Amino acid sequence: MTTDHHIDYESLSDAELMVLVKSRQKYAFSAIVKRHQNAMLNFFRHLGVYNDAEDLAQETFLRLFKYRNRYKPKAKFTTFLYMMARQVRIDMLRKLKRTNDLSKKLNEANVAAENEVFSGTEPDIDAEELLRSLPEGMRSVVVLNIYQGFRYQEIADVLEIPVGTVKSRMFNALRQMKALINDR
Amino acid sequence: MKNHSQDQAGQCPMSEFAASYIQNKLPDIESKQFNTHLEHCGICTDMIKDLEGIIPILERTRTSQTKDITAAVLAEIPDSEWTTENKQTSYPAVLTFPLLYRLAALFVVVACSVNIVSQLLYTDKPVLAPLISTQEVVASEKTGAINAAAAWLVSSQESNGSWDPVKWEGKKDFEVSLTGMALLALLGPDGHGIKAHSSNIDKAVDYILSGQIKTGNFGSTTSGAMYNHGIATLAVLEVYRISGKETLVEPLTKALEFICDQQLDSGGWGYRKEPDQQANTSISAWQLQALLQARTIGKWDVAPTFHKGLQWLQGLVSNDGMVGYRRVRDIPEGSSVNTLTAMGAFCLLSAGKQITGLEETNMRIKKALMLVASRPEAAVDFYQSYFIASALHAADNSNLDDALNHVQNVLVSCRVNSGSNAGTWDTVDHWSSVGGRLYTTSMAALSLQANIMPHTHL
Repeated sequence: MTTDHHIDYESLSDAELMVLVKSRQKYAFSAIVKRHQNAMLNFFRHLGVYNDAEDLAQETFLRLFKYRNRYKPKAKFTTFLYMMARQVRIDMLRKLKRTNDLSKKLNEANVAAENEVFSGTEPDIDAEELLRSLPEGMRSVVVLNIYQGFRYQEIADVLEIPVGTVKSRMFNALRQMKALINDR
Repeated sequence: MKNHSQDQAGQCPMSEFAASYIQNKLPDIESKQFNTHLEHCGICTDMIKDLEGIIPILERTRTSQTKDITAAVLAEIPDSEWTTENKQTSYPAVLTFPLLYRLAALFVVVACSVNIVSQLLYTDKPVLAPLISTQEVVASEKTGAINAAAAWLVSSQESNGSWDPVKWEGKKDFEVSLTGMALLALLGPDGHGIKAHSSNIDKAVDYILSGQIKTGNFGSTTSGAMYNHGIATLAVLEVYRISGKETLVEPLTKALEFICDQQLDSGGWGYRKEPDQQANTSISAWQLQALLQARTIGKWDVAPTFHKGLQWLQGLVSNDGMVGYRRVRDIPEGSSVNTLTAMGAFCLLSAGKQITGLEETNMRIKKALMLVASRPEAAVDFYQSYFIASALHAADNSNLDDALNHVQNVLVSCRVNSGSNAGTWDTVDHWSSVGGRLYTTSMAALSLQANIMPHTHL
């Protein structure tokens, strides 16, 4: 339990905590990080980031603090948080692209991750292979819907695309993954 | 898999629930609804079949043990970014209150409703005292916030005495009501502001009076006319109550006559007086506040209109004390039962101090008010905060002080402390798009003044 004398931060909603974060209360921010860090790390990992997942998660929370005053309580907090996470991911990809090392690093990361995360008895096809088969845009939609439990409108808000695009990406992603499974 | 086109996939809005349905993440009700939906939707049925083959594979992802990154994140933020230790500990009631208060409310309502509520409402025994923290924001913090808001309002007043909503993210149509709100906030606790800001207050009153038309209406006849008029009338009445300026009597007489004239046959007030117009709680509450203030001052006889209005409002109170918008249990989309109940409670509890016959209704509404105060619908809602704070104070029950403190603590903790908008509140709630920063700041300041300002406990 995160406490500050008489305070039980864990009983507060995200929106209530953010009100306190806006007034620069350290323990409230700490509670937010603790509450969302695992989901955030898994979000990046499902998007294919392994070695740098912790760095990206940290950067996301730092941006959350930096832009805390932009959060409006009427908006869903996780939408706000994952919009930042998405931007952090985009910035990372741009940085890699600038050094002309994108594909090499991603391949290295993915191979390392496979060895690191998926050891033991392997199924014929695994989650990462399925996700890797998808283009970035589709993959983000699948990860946010299936792993993070976001509704289509929330996904549209996070990725800044129309809801119709979310639906079609999800539909096409399922079709592609299904085809890959059937090919095995 | 059937070869649906992308358009077909997009045709079923329910398809977004498919993954959660398979993962058993949908709440029971939605799960049953989706189950029924599947009986006649081929698109979703096919999607489910596909997902049943895919999701088990996706779920094989191991959730690797991750280290706690909290310390690493905090280490990147300089200590100077955080509030000082003293300041942190000055807000604990904000944080300790919600869970404890919800428990208290649950205890009261579910476990021992009749006896406990009866004690709560009619005895001075602190029934909830063992369950509720009574810590308050330091009084100086509250006073500081009120004064800072007043300073900002003074600095943002136009030379003609008005406040311009457009400059502050609000809408021009509500210039008169926002000027009225700002004027009320500037008057300060117990009217102390009338000396400190006399020229600003005089200019604001002059501006409001200059817009009065023949019918007595303050401001233009826009869709928000009755909001403009009700709030402006209340503000000028308050100036008259404190200053006793005789020059205000005639325009106030006309203004009150206009309120009486605009009363609908039902007894409430709507956007305008027309045959098909329905009265609503939000507009009526401001007119009733003005009439209540007029009665308190004792210079005008508004009794018939006032009683008829209260009768109409009583008819909107449900058995559990909640207040509807146009009818009992009428909560249209975009409305808040919390705000409506607090509005009704403020009017009826305040009126209950002047007249008899409201006792039974007010007993119900006090119960509802307690529930409303214990379950805020949003972290910040300035309109709701103002009416909850005012109603809690009007309830005149020391057992509700914690709830009032909680509302005020939240407001103090989220005000803007630095920069050009220091002293204000950010435009973060439902009505900010209409009222802008003038609304957020005036409503927040008035909420902080609720237990020290006579006009809010008439």
